[in-house]
Amino acid sequence: MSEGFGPQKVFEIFGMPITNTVTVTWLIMAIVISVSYFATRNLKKKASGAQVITELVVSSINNLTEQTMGEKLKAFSPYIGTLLIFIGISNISGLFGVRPPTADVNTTLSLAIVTFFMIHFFGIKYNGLKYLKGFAEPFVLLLPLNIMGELATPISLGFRLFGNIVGGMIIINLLYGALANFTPEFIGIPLLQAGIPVVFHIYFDLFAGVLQSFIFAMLTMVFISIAVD
Amino acid sequence: MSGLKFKDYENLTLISQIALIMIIPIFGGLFLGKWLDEKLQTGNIFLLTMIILGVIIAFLNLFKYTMRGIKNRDDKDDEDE
Repeated sequence: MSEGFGPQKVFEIFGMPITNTVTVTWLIMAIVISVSYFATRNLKKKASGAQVITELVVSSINNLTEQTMGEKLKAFSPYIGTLLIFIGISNISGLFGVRPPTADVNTTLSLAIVTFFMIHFFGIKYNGLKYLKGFAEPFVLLLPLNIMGELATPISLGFRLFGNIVGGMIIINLLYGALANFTPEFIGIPLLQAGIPVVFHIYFDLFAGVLQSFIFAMLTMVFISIAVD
Repeated sequence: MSGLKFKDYENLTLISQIALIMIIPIFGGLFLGKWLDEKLQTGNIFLLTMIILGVIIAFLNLFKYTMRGIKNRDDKDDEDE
């Protein structure tokens, strides 16, 4: 795992390897938790300053969830918001020169597995045995095929996010390496590396990153509402 | 772009899912079959069976997604009317 473009091991805790994606995840967690903590202190009836931004974020996430999943499933908006914010910040973190946590298949697959269990848990909770019977439709022989087909959901969710982010990261790393060779040595400053990668950063980190976090949250909402309906 | 509704975004994300839900069962079948064949020393029997099973699952998935898409479109038409 410590060669090529895989996550690098930083240190060990009780023999458990801690990679740089894990440490970046901790950093993002710390940022999100502290922003959430400080943004919700001293809330006033009449919003001003940072409270306006907080309310805007919360109400737009509520609105998105309500529009996609319907009034009945509005209670999912904290989970959807967490997904959007965590994956969004993770994908954008490539801009700051760290390895995005979503460029590690462990992170993306664990998020996808959480979603997978939520889909089926709420499917059973809202529809009971009727939901489980849906796997044996149109006839019982298709039961194993339906179950195996259902397993494609978390894998596709996890690998799509992972593939997009790690692909962008590899291309940008290769670009930096290539530009370092092309920069004439007599200038003494990394002239080419300063300008050209900006376009790629905007596309791979900002555009693809935000889009993928939106797609992940959107698919989560769609799958949960299909299971619950 | 302003004409797009949330239902349209929903369908756009589902479209992006189609390629993956077709390819994953096939590759899953490939790897599972290869692993079983190596484990049980059975030549290529499991490899072929699992790939065919994967293709069937891929078509089944595709069928389910398409039906879902048609249902979404009908719902949208009902809303528009």
